[in-house]
Amino acid sequence: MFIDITVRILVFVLLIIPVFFDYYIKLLAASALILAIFTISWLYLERDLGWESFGHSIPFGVSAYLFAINPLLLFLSPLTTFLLFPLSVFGKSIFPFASFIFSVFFWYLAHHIVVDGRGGEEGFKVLSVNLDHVYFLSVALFIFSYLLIWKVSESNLGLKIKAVRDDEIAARAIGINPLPVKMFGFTISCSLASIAGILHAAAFGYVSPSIFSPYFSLFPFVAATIGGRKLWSCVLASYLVVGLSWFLSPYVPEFHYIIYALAIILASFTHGYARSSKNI
Amino acid sequence: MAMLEVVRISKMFGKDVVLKNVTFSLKNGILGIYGPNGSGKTTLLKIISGFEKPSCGWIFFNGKEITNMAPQKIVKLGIAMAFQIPRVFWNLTVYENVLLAAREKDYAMEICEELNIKDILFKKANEISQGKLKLLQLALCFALKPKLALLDEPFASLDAENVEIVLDYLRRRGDEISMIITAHRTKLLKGLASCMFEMRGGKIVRSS
Repeated sequence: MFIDITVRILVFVLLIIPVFFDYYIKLLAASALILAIFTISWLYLERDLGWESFGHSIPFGVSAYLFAINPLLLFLSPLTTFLLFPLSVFGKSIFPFASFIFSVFFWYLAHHIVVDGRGGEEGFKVLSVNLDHVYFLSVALFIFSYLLIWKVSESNLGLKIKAVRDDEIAARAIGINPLPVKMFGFTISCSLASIAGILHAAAFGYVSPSIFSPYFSLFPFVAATIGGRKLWSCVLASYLVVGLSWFLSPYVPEFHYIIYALAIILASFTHGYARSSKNI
Repeated sequence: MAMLEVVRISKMFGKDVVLKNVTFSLKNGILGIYGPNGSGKTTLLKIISGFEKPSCGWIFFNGKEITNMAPQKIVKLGIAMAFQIPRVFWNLTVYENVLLAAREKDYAMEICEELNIKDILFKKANEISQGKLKLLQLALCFALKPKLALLDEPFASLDAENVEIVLDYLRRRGDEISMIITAHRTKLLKGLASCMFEMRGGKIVRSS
């Protein structure tokens, strides 16, 4: 309980501090916060639905691309669910790999997206948005994401989602149709990942194919593993991964790969919802 | 008109014939089915509840054909199934499990009390004993307020005290809900069922 409250206070402090700092720190904080939203979208899918996605960069990146190509297209973002959800036919054990392979395919594909002479390897420039505005919008959307996940989890529908996660046959036996329930859960998760993707594009002012790279595909998994798969700790872990990567990369190039490797080792000792329906 | 009509149902798994032309009807009351392992009892219940598709034959419930219908639709018509190996929601509490099926808090509590699982209401399903799991499975089935309950080996894994609780509960509910109960032992079924079938090799070989 004490740790839980401390973690929440720390997150709120981290949300407020950047306001008093310069552009560089604010950009770093915005990046960490946006990736925290991305992580909790992933965590919701893993914790409440039991699906571990290594391709969450698909809704994240596709939405960023749609926003960069034409800001009006951002309303199509929830449809990115249809890019990830069909992969669930492979089952829970294959899904992480299938989604990862699919994200690599998008990484390759993104190099060839050209609209009006823009795009390709260079990517797209995004409409200039003031960083302060992006930061405050990120804080608001982070709080919105948290409240949405909390409310859905506590609702009757949330209980049905968890029931389908635990045993689809048992769910059918009490009259629950698993397909629309799963679809709803995926839509929530992918929509939040889309929001994070759009904010990411707005904060950095451009979108390039690297948004589909393993750095983003695996980021939520790494942050969730370091954060012990608890929502607030995962937010803190996102700040930690982004902060360490930014500050240490000049001394140790591609430092984030060390963090990723450590997280994968750590994951082999910890237990995720996605692994088993029993004894979690 | 019979509530349930099973007409010439057969089921094959590869070359193995598990059910051969099984035909019977049930108007109301409790039907007991007994027989050795592998005689086709569980497969028959799974076919009626929609969890298995028959190789051929038809099933009618209150005059409506339900052959090959999805299990969740069959449940909504009023047929609920309690599995031999409990299928419950492992990471939800006992209360959440029953509430999902009952949809009403008071009714969920009532069922938990009647089936002697009120003392473990807030334990997760993966923390309770095999016997209590069996009771939870029955609670899920009856919480759906079915017209017909299919109970696959409801007395397996239960100690004497819990067998009595279940027997007593089934006798009381037997007046309002029709049931098909399978068991290895005929002794428990005799005091309960109004009609009994013996199954062997996928066929009904005797009825009484």
